[in-house]
Amino acid sequence: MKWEKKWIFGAMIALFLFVLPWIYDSRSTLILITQIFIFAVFAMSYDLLLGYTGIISFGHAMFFGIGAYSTGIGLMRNGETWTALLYALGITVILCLLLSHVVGMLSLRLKSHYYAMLTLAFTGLLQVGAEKWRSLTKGNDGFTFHIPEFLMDRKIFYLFSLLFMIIIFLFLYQLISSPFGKVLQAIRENERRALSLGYQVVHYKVWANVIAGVIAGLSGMVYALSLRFINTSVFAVDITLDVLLMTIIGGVGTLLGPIIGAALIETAHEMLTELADVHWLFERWIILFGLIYILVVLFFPKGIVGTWNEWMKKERWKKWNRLGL
Amino acid sequence: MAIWLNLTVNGLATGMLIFLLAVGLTLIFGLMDVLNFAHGGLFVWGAFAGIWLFARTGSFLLGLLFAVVVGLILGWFMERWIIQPVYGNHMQQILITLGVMLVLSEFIKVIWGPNQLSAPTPEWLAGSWVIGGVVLIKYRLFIILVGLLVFLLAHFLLTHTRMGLIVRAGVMNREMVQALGVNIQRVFMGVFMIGAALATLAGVLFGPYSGVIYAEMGLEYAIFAFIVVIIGGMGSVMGSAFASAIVGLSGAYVNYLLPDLSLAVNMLIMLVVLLWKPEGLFGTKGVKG
Amino acid sequence: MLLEIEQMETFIGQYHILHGITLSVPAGEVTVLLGRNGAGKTTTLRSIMGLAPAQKGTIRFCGEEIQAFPPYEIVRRGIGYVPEDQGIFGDLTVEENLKVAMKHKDSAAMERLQWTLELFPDLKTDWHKKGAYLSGGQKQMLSIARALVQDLSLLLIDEPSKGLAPIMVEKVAKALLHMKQKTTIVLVEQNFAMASWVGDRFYILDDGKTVAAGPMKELKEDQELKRKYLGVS
Repeated sequence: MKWEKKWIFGAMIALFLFVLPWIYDSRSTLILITQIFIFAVFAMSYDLLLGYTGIISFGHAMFFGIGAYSTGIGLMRNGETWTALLYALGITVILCLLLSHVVGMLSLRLKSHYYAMLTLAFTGLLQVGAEKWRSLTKGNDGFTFHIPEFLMDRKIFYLFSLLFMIIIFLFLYQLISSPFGKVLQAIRENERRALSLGYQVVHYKVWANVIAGVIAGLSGMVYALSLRFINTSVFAVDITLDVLLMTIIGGVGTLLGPIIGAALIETAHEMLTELADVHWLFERWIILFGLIYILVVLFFPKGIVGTWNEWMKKERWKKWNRLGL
Repeated sequence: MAIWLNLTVNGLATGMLIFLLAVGLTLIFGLMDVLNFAHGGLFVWGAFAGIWLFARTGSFLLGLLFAVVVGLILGWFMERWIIQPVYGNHMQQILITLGVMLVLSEFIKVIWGPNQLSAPTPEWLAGSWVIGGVVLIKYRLFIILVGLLVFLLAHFLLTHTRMGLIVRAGVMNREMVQALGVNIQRVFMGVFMIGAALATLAGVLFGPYSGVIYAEMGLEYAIFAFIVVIIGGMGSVMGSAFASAIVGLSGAYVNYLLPDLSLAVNMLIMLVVLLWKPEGLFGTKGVKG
Repeated sequence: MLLEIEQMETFIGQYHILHGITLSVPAGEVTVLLGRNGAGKTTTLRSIMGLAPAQKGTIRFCGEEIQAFPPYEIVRRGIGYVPEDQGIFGDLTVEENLKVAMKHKDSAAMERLQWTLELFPDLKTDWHKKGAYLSGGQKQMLSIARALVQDLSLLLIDEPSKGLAPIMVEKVAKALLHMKQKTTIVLVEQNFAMASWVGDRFYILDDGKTVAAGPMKELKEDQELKRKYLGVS
């Protein structure tokens, strides 16, 4: 596919998604697709770390959870107004910025294992913290809250989430094509080389971490708005795991991959939850995901989009060879 | 005074369990740069397998033995089929061991059901001694004893046998050990299996200590073990022992004084170590990326 | 020929380091590999040891092809290695460093140990000192000793004179000449004075290829060759 064709194709899909609620008005499908949009953003932010910079995080849920809790607590305390939402936005951005900066500065100058361990531990701490600080979070039971009237409509919220995803997609696309993004990819390919070329690798890694953290926080905000309910599960390892699956199955190092991965995983969640009524083994769907995940990492490490791209490249080569070029 | 002594025993018992988990983790990392995120999964498997056999046969020792055997088998399987195929690729390695962690703890639920199981204390270890007005719970002393034995044995093996010297040398310079004619692959397999067996041993010991076992406890304790490995220094058994005691004791004391902060205090210690001496208190290995 | 290498090519990661190394090492002599920094001398030794396996070409040791063997199999066949950084285990004592290298403790091994300690008596005085606290020269001796206690017929030594005081260089060179009675040596050396003193034949490496070879005597006279590849005259 040529460059222009790619954009026209993308625009057509976006257009289709924009009019979808008026063509096919099913409540459960709309909710599912809205969730896909939200998780696609979360997964794209994760891919900026894993796929574009080569940083492994096992605690990306911490930013997601911070965004979700700021929204929930803000709207419950200050009433369901736009100002309250704006406050929540400010708090999310500031907290995610600070936290991602601190965690990054602490561990990104060390071997990659440290960042993975530290993020896992931090997220565990936040989860326990959210359980213990009951006066603020109502603990494991969680609480419901109201959101601004305008966003109550499912269709409008759907459009809002879609727009949110497209904006983040375009932003990240710009970012990874920028000189900054090129340096990140150089770090992923060969960190020593990037270092010897004179780039301050740690500095770039920390910034990638901060951007990914803030975007994850934003997706957590929209997630909380979509549920109008929150409990400690937003900090659970399951969330991080879901986002790992989405990114890896979809294709690391591509922006389309996480979106496709989010669609697959969210749909699979939905279907498997229904199947749980048929047989109890389906309640243990995490095993299935876990096994698929292991197999993908072992045999299919580029994911769907990565493998597709590679295949396309080979096909093009074949065509060229046939033409005798 | 009595309360502090009790807290100390508690803290040391917890510390010993964490130490048993951390030994394998730190040596596996030191030797091959493999950070095994599935280590917590082994902990859970040890607990369920051991307690299950204990409940069936009534013999706690048999349960302990069974847990160790399960650990050796799982360790062999993981090293051979999960870790070996991705040698040298850090990213794949880290990602895959987390997947294994997940599958291991979910399989527990398939076999033993999703609910927690109760784990009674074996009769001969139940009850307590009262010495000078201080109540000492027998089982906790038993854990400390087992932990000490493992530590002393590990220390002896690492300092007085050629195999132990090879392991320590391998942590410092893997390539040189190979160039001296050692099949590092086999050494690593051995260390991995022993590390796995110690993790399952910690799991089954944990059962009667907490009274209940559940599938999620693997990750909880793995996080403690990670903290210990960072504080003590990757690759150092001595460091792990020392850091386990710190983490166990500070957890116990703070839990008594300021219960809400017990996890946070360990994180705090870890952060201080990372800032001040990122290679860990006893680290002998480079940690820069 | 004890060791014969033909058209060996080695990649490290994506980098093509060796483009075709061809050399043969006769038994009982000291063969010196010369060349500028980055010419591929260290990688050649590492490829022989199996630490940086060669992707193309053959390495024959005593007539057997060893290029596909893992390092421990190569050591078992009688090749020892002293790396550029000496590879001393800093946390282990001198005794323990030697112990790691001694697989068996039969009489032959004890004899080798005896012989080695006579060659480097300093090691006996520092027997219980940790490797990290040894001086540069002592580390070099320990590293060579650690190779000698193994049952060797070929020893690969990477720049033993690097960073040593002149008096230590002389000591090491004398030790090498003494070792020649027992084992064949392949020596990588930048210090031309030392190389020409202990060496019997030479190979010059440039850009991952062997470009010149011959008896050491000839190189001493050939100013042109020396200037072209070694930057000395």
